[in-house]
Amino acid sequence: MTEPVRVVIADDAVLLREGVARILADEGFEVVGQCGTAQAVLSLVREAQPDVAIVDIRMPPTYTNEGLVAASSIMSEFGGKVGVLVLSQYVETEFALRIVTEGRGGVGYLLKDRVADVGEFADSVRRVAKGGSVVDPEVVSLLVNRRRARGPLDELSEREREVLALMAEGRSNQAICERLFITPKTVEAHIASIFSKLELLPAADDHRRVLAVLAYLRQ
Amino acid sequence: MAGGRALTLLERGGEPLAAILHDPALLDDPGLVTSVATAVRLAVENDRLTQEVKAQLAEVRASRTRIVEATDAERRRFERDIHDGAQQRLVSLSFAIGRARSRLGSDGDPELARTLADASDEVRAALAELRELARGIHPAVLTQAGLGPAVRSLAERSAVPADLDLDLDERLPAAVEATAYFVVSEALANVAKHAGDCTARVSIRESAGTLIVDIADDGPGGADPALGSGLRGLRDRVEAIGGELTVVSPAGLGTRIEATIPISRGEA
Repeated sequence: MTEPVRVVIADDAVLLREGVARILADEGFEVVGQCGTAQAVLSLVREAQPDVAIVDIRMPPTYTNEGLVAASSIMSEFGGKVGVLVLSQYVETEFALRIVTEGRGGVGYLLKDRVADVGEFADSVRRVAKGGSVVDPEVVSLLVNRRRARGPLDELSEREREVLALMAEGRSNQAICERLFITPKTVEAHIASIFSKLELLPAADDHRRVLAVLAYLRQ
Repeated sequence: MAGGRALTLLERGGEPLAAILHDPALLDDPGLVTSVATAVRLAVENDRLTQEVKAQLAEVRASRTRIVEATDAERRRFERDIHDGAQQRLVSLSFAIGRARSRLGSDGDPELARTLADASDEVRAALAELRELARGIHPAVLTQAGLGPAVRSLAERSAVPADLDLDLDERLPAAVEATAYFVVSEALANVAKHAGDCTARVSIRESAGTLIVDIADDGPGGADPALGSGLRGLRDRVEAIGGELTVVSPAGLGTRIEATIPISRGEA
């Protein structure tokens, strides 16, 4: 991408909002707008036409899930043209699934802690801008490591579990290769094996893959 | 008196209490009239006292409910204070450290890099602890998404496998959701502590205006009928909002905790 990725940031905590803005500016993003309420973010997106809207889940007036509602509105109104990355100070699998399910294009759900990992965070925002999915590793960990009665997940090898977790985070095959230092062919073989053991149909694209894996894990 | 009847008036503290209509002939036997009068006094007094006790009991029940609701509100406020206060500060701190590490880059002073990395790990750990603390006080997901997702969250983190059978269509009054949540939370913690290697099953459904919360395990059973302090406190809480909590734990047959909580949607 030669042009900087344009983002808007919505969070009622000014200090954090500006912290995110500064980190992204350092990394070459263009912060084209900021706001502190869910109502404001929709008009901000309409006006500024960013590539990604970064939205805190908890905003006034009730501080419950205004951010989620705003995210939904952006996703339905802009149908994939604007990526939505939801940030939260704690993560729940419930919201990860809702957000990824509703996402039309780029979509993400991350713990605010992740912003401090500047390189990774910048990479996540770029992935969302390009239409990819980003799911916080802690959400994935909860789902993959949940105590269960014996089932198909026990049939996976250690390596396959690693691949499964990375798929659930929304990583592409290429990214999985790089993380695990294995070849693309090996990754493809692992993925085929995983889908077969879990009796899942192969997914048409990365986004659907994330959805399929998350939905399976959250049964 | 006309009609050949006599009237004996009973008073209490100068106020009329009761009137006894009787055959005038009974006036010849003052002892009899007095005995009847005494009996009538007792009956009326009894009745009055019973009414008073009922009214007091209703007031005590109402105040217990208010206490539970006030406590819940306090806890929600506390959780929000943590979120907006200390937690936010630590997140902000982590951003500053992150930016510093980024500026240092990979060819900066290695000692400084290590110090910043350690600082970063500490802040991350502090944030994780705060999240756990807040969850124990009042999980935000309970307010945001209701009992179903909150219980699911418990199951995801449970040390024993927990199967869920949740039949919940709509949100419930806040006190009901919070009470039910903490019953499940404590029950699952107990299963992990006492029953070890087993599976728990949590089922929640609504029936005729009552929420029925059931947590059963297939462990060894034989739990002490005198509940641990955690469950005792929960029973008090459940009763304070008009419900009941029972524990059944035959040796060898696992333990089952059932809480029934009335759902009155008039109040929130």
